[in-house]
Amino acid sequence: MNILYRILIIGTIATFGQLLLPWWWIVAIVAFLVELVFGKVDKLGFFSGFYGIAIPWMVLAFYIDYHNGSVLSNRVLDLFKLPRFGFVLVLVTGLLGGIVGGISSLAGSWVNAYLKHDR
Amino acid sequence: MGNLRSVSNSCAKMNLLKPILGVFGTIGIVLLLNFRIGQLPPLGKFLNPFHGVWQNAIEDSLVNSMPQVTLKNETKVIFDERHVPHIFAQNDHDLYYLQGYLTARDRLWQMELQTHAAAGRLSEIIGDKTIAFDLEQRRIGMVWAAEKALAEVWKDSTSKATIEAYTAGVNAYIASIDEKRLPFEYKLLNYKPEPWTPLKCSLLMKHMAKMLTGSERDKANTEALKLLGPELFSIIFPEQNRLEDPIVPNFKLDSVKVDQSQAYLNGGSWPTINPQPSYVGSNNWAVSGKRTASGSAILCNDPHLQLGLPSIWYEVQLNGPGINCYGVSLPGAPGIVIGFNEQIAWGVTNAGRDVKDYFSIAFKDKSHKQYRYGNQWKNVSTRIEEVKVRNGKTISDTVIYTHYGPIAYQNDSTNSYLALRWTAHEASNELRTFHGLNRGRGYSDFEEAIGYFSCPGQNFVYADVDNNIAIWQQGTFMDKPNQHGKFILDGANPANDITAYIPRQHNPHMINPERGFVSSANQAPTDTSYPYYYTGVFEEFRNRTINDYLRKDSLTTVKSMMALQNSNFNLLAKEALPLMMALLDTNDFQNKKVEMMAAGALLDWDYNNDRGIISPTIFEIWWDEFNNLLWDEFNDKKWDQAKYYQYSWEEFDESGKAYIDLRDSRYVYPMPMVTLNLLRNSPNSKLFDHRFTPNKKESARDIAYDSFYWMAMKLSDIITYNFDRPQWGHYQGTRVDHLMRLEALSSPKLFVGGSKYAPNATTATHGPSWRMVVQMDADGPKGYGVFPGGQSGNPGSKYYMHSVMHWIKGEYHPLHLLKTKDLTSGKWTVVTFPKATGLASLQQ
Repeated sequence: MNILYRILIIGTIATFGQLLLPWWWIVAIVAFLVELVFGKVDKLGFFSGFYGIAIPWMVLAFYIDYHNGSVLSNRVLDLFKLPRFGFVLVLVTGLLGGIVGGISSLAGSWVNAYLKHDR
Repeated sequence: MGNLRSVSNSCAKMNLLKPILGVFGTIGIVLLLNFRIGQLPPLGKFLNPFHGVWQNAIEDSLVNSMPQVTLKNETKVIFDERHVPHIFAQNDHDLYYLQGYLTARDRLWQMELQTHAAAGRLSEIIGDKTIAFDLEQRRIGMVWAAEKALAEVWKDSTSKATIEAYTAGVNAYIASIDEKRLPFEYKLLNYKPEPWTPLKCSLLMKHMAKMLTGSERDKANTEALKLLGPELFSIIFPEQNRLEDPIVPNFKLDSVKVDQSQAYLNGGSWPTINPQPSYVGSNNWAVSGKRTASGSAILCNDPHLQLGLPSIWYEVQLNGPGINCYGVSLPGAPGIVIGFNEQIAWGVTNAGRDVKDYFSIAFKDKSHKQYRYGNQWKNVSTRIEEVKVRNGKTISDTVIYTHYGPIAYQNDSTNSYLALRWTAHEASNELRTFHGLNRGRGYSDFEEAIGYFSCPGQNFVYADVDNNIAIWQQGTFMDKPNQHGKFILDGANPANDITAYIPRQHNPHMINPERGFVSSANQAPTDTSYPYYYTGVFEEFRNRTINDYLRKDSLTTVKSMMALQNSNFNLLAKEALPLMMALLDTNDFQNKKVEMMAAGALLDWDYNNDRGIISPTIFEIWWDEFNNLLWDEFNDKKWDQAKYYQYSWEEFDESGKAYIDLRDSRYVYPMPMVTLNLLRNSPNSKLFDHRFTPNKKESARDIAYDSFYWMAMKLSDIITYNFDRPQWGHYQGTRVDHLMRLEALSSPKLFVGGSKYAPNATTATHGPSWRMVVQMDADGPKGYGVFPGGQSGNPGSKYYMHSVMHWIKGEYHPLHLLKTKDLTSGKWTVVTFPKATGLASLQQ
């Protein structure tokens, strides 16, 4: 399946999953499974999970930050000794989600490739 | 071809390696981001915007949580423009239930942390760092005391119902918390709240008792007596000056005779107790309508406590059958502590009397099962305390209890054991006081209600709509022989084991005095006409400034009262500085430029510790240096004059301000009034002679000159390295710190004036934690108030530091004592909590 579809599926399932369930790490399971089931051996296994998780995380974080006037994000940036600069925490959040999603989907694609190759 | 085959073989092996690597990599990163590493929160859990800390940036909607409350009747709440809840309940249960629920909603983490601290349980959250603190809390009997207090609460059905309703409300909120709505700090430190219990309400009261009864000097005095001998001791540590504007002047009780025998220990060695410096203080006063412009009485109160975030106070209005009250509450305790209703207003300051006595205990043998008492041996009891440490061990400690109280401090190698007798250990029900005051309709209700208040001793000020004013020093105080409790007592001597209390009606009090006002500012409660013996740490400057102002202010207004609360007038400087300046000779200046500049700034000064000027900074440094040189009797033996300047920059006090503390930790410096009187009356006293210069005899002149020189050295450093720092507001650097001392969640350094010798007693870490002015008009009280923080304890909320800037500027918010008709006026947003049925199972 095309990478864009995979991103969309990961993003959609992960978002609903996180809205319904209290565990943040279901993003890893979703990215892993989607790539395992729909993955292609196109060496883009990392990017489906990366964007599939990073985009909704960033969109939600941005939305919250905008309405909160960055009161919270500035305090968290101070806590992490990061510069209080624009949407740094939104980016950090997206990157973090992206890395978790990316590693998981990459793992899924590798397992997928192994299973297909083995058969 | 052979090559290709081998490549594809190795590919097959790689393919097996990759999935395994991938799966483990995925599990690895999830685990890595799901737990705390060092000081870092669990990043994945913390930052994911669906459940993590981002969710704390969304103002919590009450609608989500409503189904989980269990109310007897429909209850309405108005949240005003500063997020203060005004609760309109139809019965007491619902009132306190919702107070608990709404306070927890804004302050749950703070409520739990403070009560954990009281119970000696911080290590469960923080880890190794707080073990020593926790053990000390257990040894001074905090939990034991809270359990005794709770047993007393249970005897009173009203108090029991109040605490139970409050507890149920807090627990209803805790039960409603999901991953998303977990307060910020729980996410940061990765733990979950536990159910609230009635014991925690008692623990909070003990937390306050400990904070406000640190005025014991038993051990410091005993050490000082050993060092100085009785004659010198009585000069440097006199029974505190009781002539200057006591709270209740000329309070005579002719029938009372006090035992003049003196029984104390002189000699021996003692385990370490670090004396608490006296930072806490407060002002309150009430002015009769005879002296006000409006003709209505005005009541004012500003308790000076350690400034913290979340704020120590939570504003609330409680409206129900027989109650319509506005004021500040302590998160974790039902009712309003300082406030007003339509008939009365009241406020508190700390009595500052010594209510902790230490008894030296002689055990029969190393088993510590029996101790000497007269010519017999008494048996001890023990209490096992377990301190659980986060991610680690449990530390067991057996605390020994004598009939005096627990062995709080001990040193096995010197066989010295100190039992602590503290009025906070005695069964009492302080919450009953607030229950009564909140509903009080006149003076007799006030007097009855405060009778329940045992510890910490407080000065309750009162004003009502009928123009009565009153003040009471209320608390449980022992009827002590002369000097009893000033020093460590011999626990083996039954003569020291006094059991009588001062009758409550003999506590100093005053109703509608001729002078038209009553006031207290932590000064001695009485002058020498009061027959009972007491000791403590008492203010000698703020009280006089306030009383002088009130005596002169013949047409008092709310505005003039606000001005007095914000007055930076430093009476110590006014009295000490001319004496110190007179000792200087400009011809002796070595560092001429800076010293001339400093002297000029001091001569120009009007003694107001205003934030933008440098004179207060110069005086403060000079005064500290002067005391360090004068009181070398108490300085560390390691002290070396040649290295003096070096030392001075190496020591920083808790606020980060450069401060030379050369004091040996066994002692405390004498009170400023003692220094001032020496300057006034005996500039050639041998006390001015420096013990490290055997060949020279110093007088006040030498001390003034030397300390002025050191002050100038420091001042020039401050100016050289950071030009704007000498301004008082910068030098003082007041901060409102987060309870965990996390800089990111604290206020920045505030540019604000004040002095501990001024009515606006703002220092680096302490200050007016709530300023309130109430005018008791017949058509409804007019209240104004402000505290340096905000209603919400959530660092993601705009209400977290909402009022800090207003507080700095000395501005006040109008306090809305709303009425039932306001529910339907359309002016306010009303949240309706439905009468809930069948949901009791949600209570924990």
